[in-house]
Amino acid sequence: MTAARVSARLGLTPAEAELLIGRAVERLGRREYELRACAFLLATGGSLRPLIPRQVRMRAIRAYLHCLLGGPSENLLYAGAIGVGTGK
Amino acid sequence: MTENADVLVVGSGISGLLVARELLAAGREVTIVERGPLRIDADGLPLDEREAELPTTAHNTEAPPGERVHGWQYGYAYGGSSLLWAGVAPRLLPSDFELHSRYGVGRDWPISYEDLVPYYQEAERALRVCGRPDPAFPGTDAYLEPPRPSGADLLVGPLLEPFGTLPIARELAAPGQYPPPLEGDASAVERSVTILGVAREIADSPGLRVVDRSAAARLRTAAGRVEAVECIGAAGDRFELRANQVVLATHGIENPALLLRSGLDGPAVGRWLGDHTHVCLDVELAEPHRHWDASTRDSGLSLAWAEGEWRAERASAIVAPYNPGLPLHEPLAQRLADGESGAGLRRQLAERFARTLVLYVSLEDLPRVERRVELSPERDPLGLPRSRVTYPVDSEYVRRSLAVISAEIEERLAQLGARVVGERVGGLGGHMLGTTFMGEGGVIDENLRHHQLANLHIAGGSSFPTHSALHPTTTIAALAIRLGRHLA
Repeated sequence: MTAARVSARLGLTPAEAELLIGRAVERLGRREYELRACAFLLATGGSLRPLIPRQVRMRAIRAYLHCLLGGPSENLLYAGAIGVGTGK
Repeated sequence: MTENADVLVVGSGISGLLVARELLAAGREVTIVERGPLRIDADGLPLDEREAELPTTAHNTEAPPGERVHGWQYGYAYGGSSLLWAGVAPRLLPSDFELHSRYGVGRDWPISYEDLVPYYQEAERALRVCGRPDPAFPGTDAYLEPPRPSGADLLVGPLLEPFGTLPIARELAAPGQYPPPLEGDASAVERSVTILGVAREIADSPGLRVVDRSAAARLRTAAGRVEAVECIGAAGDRFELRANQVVLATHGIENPALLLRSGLDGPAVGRWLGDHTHVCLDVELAEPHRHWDASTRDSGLSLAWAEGEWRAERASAIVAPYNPGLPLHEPLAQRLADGESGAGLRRQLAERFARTLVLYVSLEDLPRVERRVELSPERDPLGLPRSRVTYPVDSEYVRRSLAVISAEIEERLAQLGARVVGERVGGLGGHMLGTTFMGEGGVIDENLRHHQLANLHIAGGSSFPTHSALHPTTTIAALAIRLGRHLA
């Protein structure tokens, strides 16, 4: 469920989301990943978003994106420069 | 407990391993003391895991009270800080050795580029450097096959002449292996494979002994010689190592700190600390281009701002396309915080990515006495004084150069509709230079021998009298090989 919502926010395909989230979980552990993902979802959508100060939202968003898209490969994938599983 | 060694090398980074390699090849016996654990397998293991959280591997630098921490990048594991090396492996320019004679600033080195050529060649063989012979660097004939030019190199290279290949120390990638496959962290492998290759090469040498998980605490001296190196093990055990020759081969903060802990102060010890300013310029182009297509992270090198009479006034710089391109997480974060999301946002950022070329700029700075290493009143987990590092970053010499480069890049790339739209710090603290520099007024002579202690030599970036704009590791390696042969 979280994965689907993250995919929608970031415009990822299911295969891309599975790959990126899998790598993030591997690095952070499931619990830490879920905490960051929930904070990210709260900060980027839903009825609570306007109530959260921008600075706090930015902190949650950055923390999540850093683990999801922080490396060159992940960045290239998000930019559409490479595809899943090919390295190209 | 006291043990005896023939040659004692403190530190197992690129300097220590290459000095040891030369000595072992000549039949000498070498003992290496290393703070971190001896481990030469698992090339992709991150450095913090290699360090294994021992009292000997606790990082021990600090900024003066109230000042910003500079973020020095070093590691305590077998392989040393070289485990963090990205493999960028150019030589220095011949003029870098004569900065004062040519331009009236900085210092001259007591050795010339020509003196180092044979050692550069050997270093490039030892580190498996891929490159292309370049007339700016005479005697470059030992390179392995160069990396394939990136889309960015092909696009801007002809406009940023002189433009050549940036030498890279790494295994040759098979075609299609860049960007790294997403399934594995290939970047970590690239960082460590070269130095661990040297470690494996000497691992079975009969004359090699490694004392790992042990810190060199102090040098005990008498009658113009180092009598013994006092060490502390990770379990708190204390012991002495005696040797005919001692080589300090740690990084540019630890080398002077060890001298200072030993009471070997002097006007140059720990002063003149140097680092490179790395800046990423985001250059927006009129049209999207496939600039990231490459075989390595770095592949091209512009020397358009590296050399000229103006070095009296402003910094030498090198410019290299950064092939992975524009990091999108920060602009993405800003847009998400503003309430945008979804496939449309991704499409816009992807287009921005394709239209933005990232040019990495590395700038020289002049040595400054106020940038320095001192002993702190605070203690580390071994009970030794921490290293207090003062490093004011701002530099007019650097800023003047960066302003010129930004303006001239827009001029040179005008036919691509280029505009410099961003300037980001591209990493600090990776190069620790100059704190025991060689030559007159320095700490060591042209053979890296301490001016007062006949059997003490100091290798590594701390021996540099000036810094160049170019990455120091190949020169550090060449100096280590030269020292190893000198001692053998």
